[in-house]
Amino acid sequence: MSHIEYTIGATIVLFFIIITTRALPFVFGRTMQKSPWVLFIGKQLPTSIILLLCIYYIISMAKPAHWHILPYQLIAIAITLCTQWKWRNTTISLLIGTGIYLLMTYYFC
Amino acid sequence: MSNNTLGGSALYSPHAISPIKLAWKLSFPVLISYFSLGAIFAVLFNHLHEPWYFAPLISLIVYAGAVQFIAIGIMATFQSYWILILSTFFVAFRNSFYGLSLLDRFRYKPLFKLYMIFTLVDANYAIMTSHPPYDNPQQDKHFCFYLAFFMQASWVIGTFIGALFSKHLLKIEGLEFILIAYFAILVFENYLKNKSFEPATIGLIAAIIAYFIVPFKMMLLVAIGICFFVQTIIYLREKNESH
Repeated sequence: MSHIEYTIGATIVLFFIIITTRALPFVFGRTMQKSPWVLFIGKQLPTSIILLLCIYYIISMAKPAHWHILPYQLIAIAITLCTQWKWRNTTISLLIGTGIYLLMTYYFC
Repeated sequence: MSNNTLGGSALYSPHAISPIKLAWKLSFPVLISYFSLGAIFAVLFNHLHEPWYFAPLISLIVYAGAVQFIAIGIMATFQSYWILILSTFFVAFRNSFYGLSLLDRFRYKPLFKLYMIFTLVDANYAIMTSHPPYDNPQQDKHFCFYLAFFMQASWVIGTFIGALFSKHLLKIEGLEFILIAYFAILVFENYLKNKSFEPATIGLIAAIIAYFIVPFKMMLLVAIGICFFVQTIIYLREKNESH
Protein backbone atom coordinates (compact mmCIF):
# COMPACT_ATOMS: atom_id res chain seq x y z
CA MET A 1 0.00 0.00 0.00
CA SER A 2 1.43 3.34 -0.95
CA HIS A 3 1.60 6.24 1.48
CA ILE A 4 -1.23 8.04 -0.23
CA GLU A 5 -3.47 4.96 -0.25
CA TYR A 6 -2.79 4.51 3.45
CA THR A 7 -3.68 8.14 4.17
CA ILE A 8 -6.89 7.97 2.15
CA GLY A 9 -7.84 4.72 3.91
CA ALA A 10 -7.10 6.24 7.31
CA THR A 11 -9.26 9.27 6.49
CA ILE A 12 -12.19 7.05 5.53
CA VAL A 13 -11.80 4.97 8.71
CA LEU A 14 -11.76 8.14 10.81
CA PHE A 15 -14.83 9.48 9.03
CA PHE A 16 -16.80 6.38 9.98
CA ILE A 17 -15.64 6.54 13.59
CA ILE A 18 -16.75 10.16 13.82
CA ILE A 19 -20.12 9.76 12.18
CA THR A 20 -20.90 6.62 14.20
CA THR A 21 -20.05 8.13 17.57
CA ARG A 22 -21.91 11.35 16.88
CA ALA A 23 -24.99 9.62 15.49
CA LEU A 24 -25.30 7.01 18.24
CA PRO A 25 -27.98 8.67 20.39
CA PHE A 26 -29.98 9.65 17.31
CA VAL A 27 -30.04 6.09 16.06
CA PHE A 28 -32.04 5.04 19.09
CA GLY A 29 -34.30 8.01 18.28
CA ARG A 30 -37.93 7.64 19.20
CA THR A 31 -37.58 5.31 22.15
CA MET A 32 -35.02 7.62 23.73
CA GLN A 33 -37.03 10.78 23.20
CA LYS A 34 -39.98 9.45 25.17
CA SER A 35 -37.86 8.42 28.13
CA PRO A 36 -38.06 10.92 31.02
CA TRP A 37 -34.66 9.70 32.19
CA VAL A 38 -33.06 10.70 28.86
CA LEU A 39 -34.82 14.07 28.99
CA PHE A 40 -33.52 14.66 32.52
CA ILE A 41 -29.96 13.63 31.64
CA GLY A 42 -30.12 15.70 28.46
CA LYS A 43 -30.97 18.78 30.47
CA GLN A 44 -28.49 18.23 33.30
CA LEU A 45 -25.42 17.07 31.41
CA PRO A 46 -24.53 20.10 29.22
CA THR A 47 -23.28 22.41 31.94
CA SER A 48 -21.17 19.68 33.53
CA ILE A 49 -19.80 18.71 30.12
CA ILE A 50 -18.93 22.30 29.22
CA LEU A 51 -17.01 22.66 32.49
CA LEU A 52 -15.25 19.36 31.76
CA LEU A 53 -14.29 20.61 28.31
CA CYS A 54 -12.94 23.78 29.89
CA ILE A 55 -10.80 21.83 32.36
CA TYR A 56 -9.68 19.37 29.69
CA TYR A 57 -8.57 22.13 27.32
CA ILE A 58 -6.73 23.89 30.17
CA ILE A 59 -4.78 20.72 30.94
CA SER A 60 -4.07 19.92 27.28
CA MET A 61 -2.64 23.40 26.83
CA ALA A 62 -0.70 23.42 30.08
CA LYS A 63 0.70 19.89 30.09
CA PRO A 64 3.02 20.20 27.03
CA ALA A 65 4.32 23.46 28.51
CA HIS A 66 5.20 21.63 31.74
CA TRP A 67 2.44 23.45 33.61
CA HIS A 68 4.28 26.78 33.48
CA ILE A 69 1.34 28.54 31.90
CA LEU A 70 -1.25 27.14 34.31
CA PRO A 71 -1.20 30.10 36.75
CA TYR A 72 -1.59 32.53 33.85
CA GLN A 73 -4.51 30.54 32.49
CA LEU A 74 -6.24 30.53 35.88
CA ILE A 75 -5.61 34.22 36.49
CA ALA A 76 -6.86 35.11 33.03
CA ILE A 77 -10.00 32.99 33.52
CA ALA A 78 -10.64 34.66 36.88
CA ILE A 79 -10.30 38.09 35.26
CA THR A 80 -12.58 37.00 32.41
CA LEU A 81 -15.26 35.93 34.87
CA CYS A 82 -14.93 39.11 36.96
CA THR A 83 -15.32 41.17 33.80
CA GLN A 84 -18.31 39.06 32.84
CA TRP A 85 -19.81 39.56 36.29
CA LYS A 86 -19.34 43.31 36.01
CA TRP A 87 -20.56 43.97 32.47
CA ARG A 88 -22.29 40.74 31.38
CA ASN A 89 -20.78 41.17 27.92
CA THR A 90 -19.08 38.16 26.36
CA THR A 91 -17.11 40.08 23.73
CA ILE A 92 -15.53 42.43 26.25
CA SER A 93 -14.83 39.64 28.74
CA LEU A 94 -13.11 37.52 26.09
CA LEU A 95 -11.10 40.45 24.73
CA ILE A 96 -9.84 41.45 28.17
CA GLY A 97 -9.27 37.89 29.39
CA THR A 98 -7.48 36.67 26.26
CA GLY A 99 -5.51 39.91 25.99
CA ILE A 100 -4.28 39.60 29.55
CA TYR A 101 -3.41 35.94 29.00
CA LEU A 102 -1.39 36.71 25.85
CA LEU A 103 0.41 39.57 27.61
CA MET A 104 1.28 37.43 30.63
CA THR A 105 2.60 34.53 28.57
CA TYR A 106 4.54 36.94 26.35
CA TYR A 107 6.28 38.69 29.22
CA PHE A 108 6.74 35.86 31.66
CA CYS A 109 7.50 32.92 29.34
CA MET B 1 -33.18 39.77 28.57
CA SER B 2 -31.99 42.95 26.89
CA ASN B 3 -30.00 43.13 23.72
CA ASN B 4 -28.05 46.36 24.08
CA THR B 5 -25.69 47.80 21.50
CA LEU B 6 -22.57 46.64 23.33
CA GLY B 7 -23.49 43.04 22.69
CA GLY B 8 -25.74 42.15 25.56
CA SER B 9 -25.32 39.33 28.06
CA ALA B 10 -23.98 35.95 27.08
CA LEU B 11 -27.38 34.29 27.27
CA TYR B 12 -30.07 36.47 25.76
CA SER B 13 -33.31 35.80 24.00
CA PRO B 14 -32.63 35.01 20.34
CA HIS B 15 -36.02 36.15 19.20
CA ALA B 16 -35.07 39.72 18.37
CA ILE B 17 -32.10 38.92 16.14
CA SER B 18 -31.89 36.99 12.89
CA PRO B 19 -30.58 33.38 13.02
CA ILE B 20 -27.55 33.94 10.85
CA LYS B 21 -26.51 37.07 12.77
CA LEU B 22 -26.93 35.30 16.09
CA ALA B 23 -25.00 32.27 14.87
CA TRP B 24 -22.16 34.54 13.74
CA LYS B 25 -22.19 36.53 16.95
CA LEU B 26 -22.15 33.54 19.26
CA SER B 27 -19.64 31.55 17.26
CA PHE B 28 -17.16 34.34 16.53
CA PRO B 29 -14.80 33.63 19.45
CA VAL B 30 -14.87 29.96 18.50
CA LEU B 31 -14.11 30.74 14.85
CA ILE B 32 -10.88 32.48 15.82
CA SER B 33 -9.89 29.54 17.97
CA TYR B 34 -10.82 26.90 15.39
CA PHE B 35 -8.97 28.78 12.65
CA SER B 36 -5.88 28.86 14.81
CA LEU B 37 -6.15 25.19 15.81
CA GLY B 38 -6.80 24.16 12.20
CA ALA B 39 -3.61 25.92 11.16
CA ILE B 40 -1.70 24.14 13.94
CA PHE B 41 -3.05 20.80 12.70
CA ALA B 42 -1.85 21.63 9.20
CA VAL B 43 1.63 22.54 10.45
CA LEU B 44 1.89 19.26 12.40
CA PHE B 45 0.49 17.27 9.47
CA ASN B 46 3.21 18.78 7.33
CA HIS B 47 5.69 16.55 9.19
CA LEU B 48 4.13 13.52 7.50
CA HIS B 49 5.34 14.81 4.13
CA GLU B 50 2.08 14.00 2.42
CA PRO B 51 0.68 16.32 -0.30
CA TRP B 52 -0.31 19.58 1.41
CA TYR B 53 -3.93 19.43 0.29
CA PHE B 54 -4.55 16.33 2.39
CA ALA B 55 -4.61 18.37 5.57
CA PRO B 56 -7.66 20.53 4.69
CA LEU B 57 -9.28 17.47 3.10
CA ILE B 58 -8.98 15.57 6.37
CA SER B 59 -10.29 18.56 8.29
CA LEU B 60 -13.30 18.59 5.97
CA ILE B 61 -14.05 14.86 6.03
CA VAL B 62 -13.14 14.03 9.62
CA TYR B 63 -13.76 17.35 11.41
CA ALA B 64 -12.66 16.25 14.85
CA GLY B 65 -9.87 18.16 16.58
CA ALA B 66 -8.62 15.68 19.16
CA VAL B 67 -9.00 12.71 16.82
CA GLN B 68 -7.11 14.46 14.02
CA PHE B 69 -4.19 15.31 16.28
CA ILE B 70 -3.97 11.77 17.60
CA ALA B 71 -4.23 10.40 14.05
CA ILE B 72 -1.12 12.32 13.02
CA GLY B 73 0.89 10.36 15.54
CA ILE B 74 -0.53 7.02 14.36
CA MET B 75 -0.19 7.83 10.67
CA ALA B 76 3.40 9.00 11.08
CA THR B 77 4.42 5.43 11.87
CA PHE B 78 1.97 3.80 9.43
CA GLN B 79 0.36 1.72 12.13
CA SER B 80 -2.52 -0.58 11.30
CA TYR B 81 -6.04 0.78 11.01
CA TRP B 82 -7.01 -1.29 14.07
CA ILE B 83 -4.56 0.70 16.18
CA LEU B 84 -5.99 3.87 14.63
CA ILE B 85 -9.53 2.80 15.57
CA LEU B 86 -8.56 1.79 19.11
CA SER B 87 -6.67 5.01 19.71
CA THR B 88 -9.33 7.35 18.43
CA PHE B 89 -12.62 5.64 19.19
CA PHE B 90 -12.70 6.34 22.91
CA VAL B 91 -11.71 9.93 22.35
CA ALA B 92 -14.49 10.31 19.79
CA PHE B 93 -17.01 8.46 21.95
CA ARG B 94 -17.50 11.46 24.23
CA ASN B 95 -19.37 13.13 21.33
CA SER B 96 -22.01 10.41 21.66
CA PHE B 97 -23.28 12.10 24.81
CA TYR B 98 -23.91 15.36 23.00
CA GLY B 99 -26.80 14.01 20.98
CA LEU B 100 -28.71 13.18 24.18
CA SER B 101 -29.46 16.86 24.71
CA LEU B 102 -30.39 17.53 21.09
CA LEU B 103 -32.71 14.64 20.24
CA ASP B 104 -35.76 16.84 20.13
CA ARG B 105 -34.12 19.85 18.58
CA PHE B 106 -32.69 17.96 15.59
CA ARG B 107 -36.00 17.05 14.02
CA TYR B 108 -34.87 17.35 10.42
CA LYS B 109 -35.03 15.56 7.09
CA PRO B 110 -32.48 12.71 6.88
CA LEU B 111 -29.77 14.35 4.74
CA PHE B 112 -29.79 17.64 6.63
CA LYS B 113 -29.93 15.76 9.93
CA LEU B 114 -26.87 13.78 8.87
CA TYR B 115 -24.97 17.01 8.25
CA MET B 116 -26.04 18.45 11.61
CA ILE B 117 -24.99 15.24 13.36
CA PHE B 118 -21.66 15.11 11.54
CA THR B 119 -20.86 18.70 12.54
CA LEU B 120 -21.77 18.20 16.20
CA VAL B 121 -18.61 19.26 18.02
CA ASP B 122 -17.73 20.64 21.46
CA ALA B 123 -18.32 24.29 20.63
CA ASN B 124 -21.64 24.20 18.82
CA TYR B 125 -22.93 21.67 21.34
CA ALA B 126 -21.98 24.08 24.13
CA ILE B 127 -23.62 27.06 22.43
CA MET B 128 -26.80 25.26 21.37
CA THR B 129 -27.39 23.87 24.85
CA SER B 130 -26.66 27.17 26.58
CA HIS B 131 -29.11 29.30 24.64
CA PRO B 132 -32.88 28.98 24.31
CA PRO B 133 -33.96 27.80 20.86
CA TYR B 134 -35.95 30.01 18.52
CA ASP B 135 -39.70 29.55 18.89
CA ASN B 136 -39.97 29.22 15.13
CA PRO B 137 -38.48 25.82 14.15
CA GLN B 138 -37.40 27.12 10.74
CA GLN B 139 -35.43 29.94 12.33
CA ASP B 140 -33.92 27.56 14.85
CA LYS B 141 -32.93 25.22 12.04
CA HIS B 142 -31.15 28.08 10.27
CA PHE B 143 -29.46 29.13 13.50
CA CYS B 144 -28.13 25.64 14.22
CA PHE B 145 -27.05 25.21 10.62
CA TYR B 146 -25.09 28.47 10.42
CA LEU B 147 -23.50 27.73 13.78
CA ALA B 148 -22.27 24.38 12.49
CA PHE B 149 -21.32 25.70 9.07
CA PHE B 150 -19.29 28.69 10.30
CA MET B 151 -17.35 26.48 12.68
CA GLN B 152 -16.53 23.78 10.18
CA ALA B 153 -15.64 26.44 7.60
CA SER B 154 -13.19 28.16 9.94
CA TRP B 155 -11.65 24.80 10.91
CA VAL B 156 -11.16 23.83 7.25
CA ILE B 157 -10.03 27.27 6.11
CA GLY B 158 -7.60 27.47 9.03
CA THR B 159 -6.16 24.10 8.01
CA PHE B 160 -6.01 25.24 4.38
CA ILE B 161 -4.14 28.43 5.20
CA GLY B 162 -1.89 26.57 7.62
CA ALA B 163 -1.07 23.95 4.99
CA LEU B 164 -0.24 26.56 2.38
CA PHE B 165 1.89 28.74 4.58
CA SER B 166 3.16 26.29 7.17
CA LYS B 167 6.72 27.37 6.58
CA HIS B 168 6.03 31.06 7.00
CA LEU B 169 3.45 30.92 9.73
CA LEU B 170 3.45 33.60 12.37
CA LYS B 171 1.56 31.83 15.09
CA ILE B 172 0.14 33.74 17.99
CA GLU B 173 0.45 31.23 20.77
CA GLY B 174 -2.49 30.82 22.99
CA LEU B 175 -5.41 31.80 20.80
CA GLU B 176 -6.84 28.46 21.84
CA PHE B 177 -7.27 30.14 25.20
CA ILE B 178 -10.32 31.89 23.76
CA LEU B 179 -12.15 28.59 23.75
CA ILE B 180 -11.31 27.95 27.42
CA ALA B 181 -12.46 31.43 28.43
CA TYR B 182 -15.64 31.14 26.38
CA PHE B 183 -16.61 27.84 27.96
CA ALA B 184 -15.87 29.28 31.41
CA ILE B 185 -18.23 32.17 30.65
CA LEU B 186 -20.97 29.76 29.54
CA VAL B 187 -20.69 27.80 32.80
CA PHE B 188 -20.66 31.03 34.79
CA GLU B 189 -23.72 32.39 32.99
CA ASN B 190 -25.50 29.11 33.59
CA TYR B 191 -24.82 29.49 37.30
CA LEU B 192 -26.14 33.06 37.27
CA LYS B 193 -29.28 31.89 35.50
CA ASN B 194 -30.03 28.79 37.56
CA LYS B 195 -28.37 29.79 40.82
CA SER B 196 -27.20 26.21 41.23
CA PHE B 197 -23.67 24.99 41.90
CA GLU B 198 -24.72 21.40 41.35
CA PRO B 199 -23.84 20.73 37.68
CA ALA B 200 -20.49 22.52 37.97
CA THR B 201 -19.64 20.73 41.21
CA ILE B 202 -20.46 17.34 39.75
CA GLY B 203 -18.35 18.19 36.71
CA LEU B 204 -15.40 19.38 38.79
CA ILE B 205 -15.33 16.30 41.02
CA ALA B 206 -15.74 14.01 38.02
CA ALA B 207 -12.80 15.75 36.33
CA ILE B 208 -10.55 15.33 39.36
CA ILE B 209 -11.43 11.65 39.76
CA ALA B 210 -11.02 10.91 36.05
CA TYR B 211 -7.72 12.77 35.82
CA PHE B 212 -6.12 10.60 38.47
CA ILE B 213 -7.55 7.21 37.58
CA VAL B 214 -7.22 7.06 33.79
CA PRO B 215 -4.67 8.22 31.18
CA PHE B 216 -5.29 11.77 30.02
CA LYS B 217 -6.63 10.65 26.63
CA MET B 218 -9.54 8.88 28.37
CA MET B 219 -10.12 11.56 30.97
CA LEU B 220 -12.94 13.37 29.23
CA LEU B 221 -14.91 10.26 28.38
CA VAL B 222 -14.58 8.81 31.91
CA ALA B 223 -15.48 12.16 33.51
CA ILE B 224 -18.59 12.46 31.34
CA GLY B 225 -19.43 8.87 32.25
CA ILE B 226 -19.19 9.74 35.94
CA CYS B 227 -21.47 12.77 35.48
CA PHE B 228 -23.90 10.59 33.53
CA PHE B 229 -23.87 8.02 36.33
CA VAL B 230 -24.33 10.59 39.10
CA GLN B 231 -27.19 12.32 37.27
CA THR B 232 -28.90 8.95 36.79
CA ILE B 233 -28.67 8.31 40.54
CA ILE B 234 -30.14 11.78 41.19
CA TYR B 235 -32.93 11.07 38.71
CA LEU B 236 -33.80 7.75 40.35
CA ARG B 237 -33.72 9.36 43.80
CA GLU B 238 -36.08 12.14 42.72
CA LYS B 239 -38.36 9.65 41.03
CA ASN B 240 -38.58 7.57 44.22
CA GLU B 241 -39.15 10.62 46.38
CA SER B 242 -42.08 11.76 44.27
CA HIS B 243 -43.92 8.49 44.80
